[in-house]
Amino acid sequence: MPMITEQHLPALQGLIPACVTTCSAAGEPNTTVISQVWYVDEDHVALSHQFFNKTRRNIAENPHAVVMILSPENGATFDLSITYARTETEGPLFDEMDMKLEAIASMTGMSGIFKLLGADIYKVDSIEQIV
Amino acid sequence: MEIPQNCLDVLQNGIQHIGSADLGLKPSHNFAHGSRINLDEGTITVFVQRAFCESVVKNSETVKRAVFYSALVSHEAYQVKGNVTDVGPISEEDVQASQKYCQSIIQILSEFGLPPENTRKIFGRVADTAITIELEQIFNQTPGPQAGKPIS
Repeated sequence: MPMITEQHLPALQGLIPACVTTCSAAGEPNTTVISQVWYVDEDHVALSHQFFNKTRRNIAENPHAVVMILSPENGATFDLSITYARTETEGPLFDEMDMKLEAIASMTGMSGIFKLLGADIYKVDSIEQIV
Repeated sequence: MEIPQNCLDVLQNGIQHIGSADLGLKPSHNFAHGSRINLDEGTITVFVQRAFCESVVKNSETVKRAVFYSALVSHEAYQVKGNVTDVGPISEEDVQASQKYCQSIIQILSEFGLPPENTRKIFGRVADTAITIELEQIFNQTPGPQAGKPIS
């Protein structure tokens, strides 16, 4: 059964930033906000690797994370439990994310600061609707 | 710890999240419903609704470690990390402060095109629990070269 269905797609359009929480091997949680969670396929999402280094370090130690996405259409909010799978630094997904990120950067005055280093692909383990 | 005024403003007025992890290193998070900084005690008290933040409250009670993240729509953001010193019922005064904070967030988000009927599903909730975290470390989370660095 696919994890990501039609009801989740509006929350993956990138109109509302997403909250990501990871945890180090020593048990230290870390929370941050990212511009967008990208739909890859019905079982995978991608997070942009820009500069959230603590998140990246945590994922190297403990591949599990949660990411909260919110639909601008109806306020539906979902918590995705995800596990890091791989990073892509080229290809169609990377190019699409890079272009979208540049568009977000220019709209929010962050040109030159938002820079895509990689597309981190995560497997979606479960999805919980919290609102 | 000396905290710059702009950081205090963001911590109290930004869109807030609280995060934690269980003993199995599984992270959890959710929106917070306001906060109170206690500079004399070196703590921050975060307002949440227990039923809405069940895992975070449980982890705060058991693991006793939490993070608090707050960001303005301008992207200026800070993160507090520290031990949890108390989890308990919220005071009436803090309920009032929480509701005032939530109203302001609903208003801010409506100015960005998010209908209040949607954001009320999150910020229309009444906080009933206060989680107090030591101001052990505060990190700059604003995108840019200072991101991830401690503020002092």
